[in-house]
Parts: sequence; C-alpha cells; structure tokens
Amino acid sequence: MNTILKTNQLSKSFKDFKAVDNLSFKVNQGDIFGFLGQNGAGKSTTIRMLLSLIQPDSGSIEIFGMNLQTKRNDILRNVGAVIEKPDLYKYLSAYDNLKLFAKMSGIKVSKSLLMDQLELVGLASRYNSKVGTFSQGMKQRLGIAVALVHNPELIVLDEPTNGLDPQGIADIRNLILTLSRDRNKTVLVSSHLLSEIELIANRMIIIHHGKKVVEGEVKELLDPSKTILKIETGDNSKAFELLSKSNWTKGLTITQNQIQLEITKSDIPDLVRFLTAHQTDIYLIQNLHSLEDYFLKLTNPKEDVHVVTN
Amino acid sequence: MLKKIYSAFIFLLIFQVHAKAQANNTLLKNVQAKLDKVTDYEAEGKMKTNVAFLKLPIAKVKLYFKNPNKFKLRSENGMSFVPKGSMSINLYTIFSNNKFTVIEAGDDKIANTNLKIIKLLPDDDTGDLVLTTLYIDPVNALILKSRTTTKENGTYELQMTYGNYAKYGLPDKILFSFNTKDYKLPKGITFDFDDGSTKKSTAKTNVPKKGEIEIAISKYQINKGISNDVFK
Amino acid sequence: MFTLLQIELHKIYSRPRTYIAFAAITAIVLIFQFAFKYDGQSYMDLMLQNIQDNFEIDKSKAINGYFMCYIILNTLLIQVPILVALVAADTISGEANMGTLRLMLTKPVSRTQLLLVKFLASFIFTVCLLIWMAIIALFLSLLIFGHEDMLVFRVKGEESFILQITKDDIMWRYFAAFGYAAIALTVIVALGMLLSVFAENSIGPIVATVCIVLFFTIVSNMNIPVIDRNVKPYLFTSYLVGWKGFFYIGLDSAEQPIKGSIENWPAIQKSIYILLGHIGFFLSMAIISFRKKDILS
Repeated sequence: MNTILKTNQLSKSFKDFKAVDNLSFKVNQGDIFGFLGQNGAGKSTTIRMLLSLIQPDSGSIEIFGMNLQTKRNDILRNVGAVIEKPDLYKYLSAYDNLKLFAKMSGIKVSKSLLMDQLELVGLASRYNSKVGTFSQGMKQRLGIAVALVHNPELIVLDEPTNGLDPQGIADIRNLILTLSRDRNKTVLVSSHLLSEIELIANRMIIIHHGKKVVEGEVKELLDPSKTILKIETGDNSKAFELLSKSNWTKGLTITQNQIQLEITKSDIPDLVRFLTAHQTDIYLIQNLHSLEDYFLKLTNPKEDVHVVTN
Repeated sequence: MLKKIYSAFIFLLIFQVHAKAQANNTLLKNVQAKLDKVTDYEAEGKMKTNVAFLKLPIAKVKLYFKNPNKFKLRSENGMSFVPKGSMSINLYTIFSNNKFTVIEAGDDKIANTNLKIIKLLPDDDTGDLVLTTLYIDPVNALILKSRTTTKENGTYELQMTYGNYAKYGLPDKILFSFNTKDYKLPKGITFDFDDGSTKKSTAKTNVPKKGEIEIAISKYQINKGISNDVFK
Repeated sequence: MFTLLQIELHKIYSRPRTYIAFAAITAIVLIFQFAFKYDGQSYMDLMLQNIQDNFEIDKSKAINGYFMCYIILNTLLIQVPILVALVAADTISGEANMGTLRLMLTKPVSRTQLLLVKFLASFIFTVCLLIWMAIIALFLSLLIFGHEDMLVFRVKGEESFILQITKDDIMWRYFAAFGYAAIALTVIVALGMLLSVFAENSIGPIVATVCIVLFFTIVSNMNIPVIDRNVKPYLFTSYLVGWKGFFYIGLDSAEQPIKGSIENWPAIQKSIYILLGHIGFFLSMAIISFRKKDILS
C-alpha cells in the first residue's frame, strides 16, 4: 500500500503552549483517515501544517513522496482542503467563487466542469446567487466543491460537519464515502467525535495535548473484545520486563506502582498464568475499560483523562 | 479676452498733462503740440513684469489710445497682470480737475541728452498727488522721464525711450517703476513641496519693494481710427 | 501570474467598498467645481491679496480648468491616501477576516507571488483612481472652466510668490504630476499591505495606515524649523506633495518663467527615488513577514 502522507516528529509551539508534540503518522492511498482529538488537541494546527499554512518548528512532512517544504506547489496542486468553516467571498456568486479558486489551483476552467462540481454538491440551481445569502450548510457544500474542483488526489477536511444539522452531516458523510469508493480519493478528515469517524474511516489517529495516543485500523482499535488492563505485582519492574519480552506488548507501560497494557479479554487468563509461572505475585488485576470507552473518554472534553502514550 | 482692462496706464498722465495743464510753459506747449498729432493709435507690445513675487512670462499686449483720454492695454494671449495704475487713475482725475503750478526746476542729463526738469504742483493739496516731476528733452519735445509722488502710494516713475515714432511723441519702450506691497501667503495654505532648496530670505519686511514693468512697443498704427468699442 | 492578477482585480472590482473611493473623489471634485463656479472670486481675492491694488487681474480667467485641477489635487491628494489605504490595507487582513486567506494559501501559489499580485492589483486600482481623478478634476474642469494660463501660488521659505505658466505648457506637467502621484500613492499601497499582513481584521491596518499618513503629514507641514531640518526629510509624507514640483516652472536670470522647464528637477528625481525606496522597503518587509506568517485565522 502506497503511503500518500507521512509526518515525521512534527512539533509546533505557540509561545509557551506546545500545540503539536513530536507527532508522526502516515496516511495510505485510498484511506479515509480519521484525525481524532478533543478541541484544542492540536488537530487544526497539524492540518494547517499539512497545508503549509503553519510552519512547523521541527519535523518534516512528506506528501506524495515529496517534501512539503521544498515542493509545496507541486503537492498542493493535488490537494483539496476545507479548513473549519469554509469562508468564501460573500460578494461573489457561488459560480464565481468556484471559478476563482479553480483558476488558482492552476487548472483549465470550463463552465461544464464548474457546473458539474456544483451539481455534485447540490448547488447547481443556486450557482448565480451571492454566497452571502447562503446557509452554513450550503457554504460547507460549496467549500467542498472548491476543494474538489481541481480533482485532487488527497482531500483534507477539517471538522467538515461542524455547525451542520443532522441531514447536513449525513450528506457530508455520504459524499466522503462516495469520493473514496467511486473516485478512489484519499481523504483525511478530522473530528472530535469518535462516532463520526467510526462510521466512515478505515484508519485513524487519536491525539491528545498535541501527542499521538494511538494510530491504526479503526476496526482493530475499536474491537470490543480489546480492553485495557491494569496490573499490580510484587515486583512491577520485573513483571514489566517479562511482559515486554512476551506477546502482550501492545500499549505496555509502567508507572510507579502499576503496569498497563492493551489486551484481548480472552488472553487475560493466559497472561495471569504466564506471570505466576514466572514467580510474580499478582496483587491486583483490573479491567479498566474497553478501548472504545477509553477513546470516547479521550475525545470527550468533559472527561479529563490521564493518558499514557506509547 | 479681458472684458474690462480698465487700465488708464501712465499714458493718461502724459496726455492729461498736455491737455489739461496750464500751458503757459513753452516747453510743455511744444510737447503738447507734438502729441496732438496723434488722435488715435493701436500698437503691439511685449510686456515684461519685474516684481519680486510675480514670476510671469512676457505677455503679448495690444495698446489702444484715442483722444482725448481713452486708453486700453489688452493682453493678446493668455492671462495677464495688467498694472492697474490706480494711482494714475487718481492722477488723471486730479489732472482733469485741478490746476497746477508749473515750476522749472533746472537741468539734468540722461544718456548724453540734456533735459529740462519741470515740476508740477497741484494747487489743491488735499489730494493724494504731491508732486509730479517731468524730465523733458527740449530739442525733440519729448518727455523722457516722469516721477510722481503720492501721499498714499509712494513714488512711481516712468521712463520712455523713443525710436521710430519719436516724431509723434510715442515711445518704443516704457519702463514703469512703482512700489509694491509685501505679498505673503499664510503658511500651510498651499501645502507646498519643500525641495530642501529654501534659502534664507534676505527680504526685509516693511521695506517698500520696487516693481517694474517694461513694455516694448512696436507696429504703431497711428490715426487709422479706432472704434470706441475697444475701450469698453 | 496574469490569471492571479485577473482574479485579484475581479475581487477588487466586485466589491462595493471599492466604489466608495470613486464616489468620494467624484463628490469632492464636483463640490469644488460647483463652489468655484459660483464663488471662485473670493478664493482668488484671498490668494491675490493686495496684489489687486497694483494690478488688474481677470479673476474669471484665473479660475480656469487647469487652475481648478491644481486646487483640487492640492486638497484631494491629501485625502486620496485614505482611499488607497481603504483598499490596500484590506488586501491581506480582509481575506484573513473573511477566512478566505487560508483557503487561498492552500492553493499552489507561492505567498510571495500572491502578495506581489495583490500589490499589483492595488497599484492598478490606485492608477484607475488617478485616471478617474484626471478625467473629472482636469478634463471636466477644462470643459467647465476653459483653458487658460495657470497661476501657481507658492510659498517657499519666507517668500510667497505667484508663478504664471502659459496654457500650452501645462498639460504635460499634469501627466507628469499624475505619474508622480501614482508613485507617491504606491508608497501608501505598500505601507497598507505591510500593516495588513500583521492583522486579522481590516479595520486595524486601515486605521493604522491612515493614522501614520495623517500624523506624518501634519508633522511634515508643521513649519517648525527644528522639525523642518531634522525630521521632515525622513518622513515619506514630505515627498507626497512632490508632484507640485512639476508646476514650479524654471526661471531665467531675469526671473521670467522658462517655458517647458522645471525649477528643481533633481529634487523631484530625489523624491522619486526616496518614494521608490519606501515602496521597496515596505514591500519586502511585507513579503518577508507574509512568508513567515502562520495562518491562524
């Protein structure tokens, strides 16, 4: 599978605030890649760095195998983006807005092409109306038309459903699925709602306080049989060493008096046997929560979760 | 065209002098006789203004005269600052309404020409005019210079150079000197471009400044008849 | 590049705000023309002062099309920077405010190119504004008030004087003056853009540009010797009125105006260089800052 986008230890601070901290991830061709995190987790900063709107303090970004720093224009020719709410020129018509940005993308513009795009997002009948008269949903759809008009390979959508009604949200979701399925586009979509990502994405990343919590296949990450286990033993450091040589290394961390790891529930008895077989006294073993619960908590701003990242 | 250049230039002074002054002086009589040959004329002139605060190009003018006292100076092209001769207008009225005492005041010399000096004192001393001095070439019966002193407007001077039309008593060149008031625009009114070349002004205020107007006259057409409309 | 320029111009001309400038200029010019048509004499009386004691001047001739244009430019060129700022200081910040800036900057166009194109578009707007001014302040005035020699009232240091320029020697001076004004106003464009780069709403940079111009203009015109010598040469606003230099006709040794001449061409030349220097400086600063800027709007 081809990697379309790859970041390497990306960091960005605003004054004392570390918005993005050593973030590395990759997006494969054809992915609908979910970019998940609370508001303020660093999603927008990361996405703006991917689009060259913000200069990273350190780290690198590679898109289509090219370095964003040096091949910005070549890359952006093949990227379409909607960043937060798409603001367009209110004093221009939908058609003129689309035409203007299409031209900026460097493609040959024809009326039929533009009308096709407007048709795709259901705005063909309003092509001549000034954007100032549009509802939020219509603007959002026009924004997507702008992102798609130059037929980019990679589409970046930053919180595309923000401020939309349920019907609008469903429309956007269907559009993303259509783009991926029928047009074989790679889509990076950010959201603070796990439920939303879960419905469309095949891969995802979760970030928290600018750091990656987890990255992987959605199906695997949200497997209901997986759980996070907390263990206290007579000799935690010895147990940790044992486990790190075993098959249960996923999410394995050690803090002062506990060990934590990700595990499939059915494996728990084997793990207990493994530890006791190695003369480790188990004082406490606790099934914390399912992964899904964990991520839900992670992406819910009302919960302050202590996150252990790997 | 200027509708009303009502300039009764200094010529008036001269004509009024010979017309109205008590011609009990033979010299004045001769001058008058010469001037009487001209009943009207039209001439072309080039007027040059030398006034500190006026930077004007040489103006093409036309001069018209008709006996006894009609005179007009008209700019041919463009706009012109025509010396008003408000003082001379005053003079004209004084001359026409008052009598003078004529005093012969000796001799003088301008460019090797011997001249007689004649002073005219108005009999009525309530007017603005204080004294007029004429410098007359007795041989050719031509006035070469006149100086007029007024109470309010200072002294002004008229110098004439004669050439082709001397037999009619008409000058080729007139130099009119007068006092000007200070011209000062309030600063800031014009938002001027200061190119940094400003020199320290040497001009002193309250010192009356001299202005000069020079008219070179040519192409006199004498006694061809002129419509009165010209002077309107 | 041309496509981008077209886009920028399209944006400028689709916006109602753009026409405020044209409307404002038209209104001011028409008011001037109306006022002078009906009471130009009293203005002339003020300017001519006691000269009228010694000279007969046809004031109706003195108030002609050329003179009107001079008077109008004299006043208007102090206000036009505000109108130019209205457009130029809005170029980046206005888009940041609308939210279109981030979308634009995700397009395969370099920031430098974008800024240059915006600068060019604002410059073209300024030139259009000047052309419009020429049409109504000069040509319309000539139509209403006629052609005649022009009087230039000038204060130079301690002296005041009047220059007369013959009517066949004026038109080229206006072309030169409008050309100069274009350069001078482009300084405002560049300054406006520079301030615009740092802001995320258009009011801030517009007000800032206008304030800087006004403040500098006031200081430039203070006529305090210490300021004249030590501060004035360093304020670009001192050079904004340099267009008048084209109307300061050269004088010969007899103080007669020399047709087709300019009194101090080197000074005008120097002003042009200084203005171009300012444009270069402001523009490069704008480009440097814009390239580095993180788009957070």
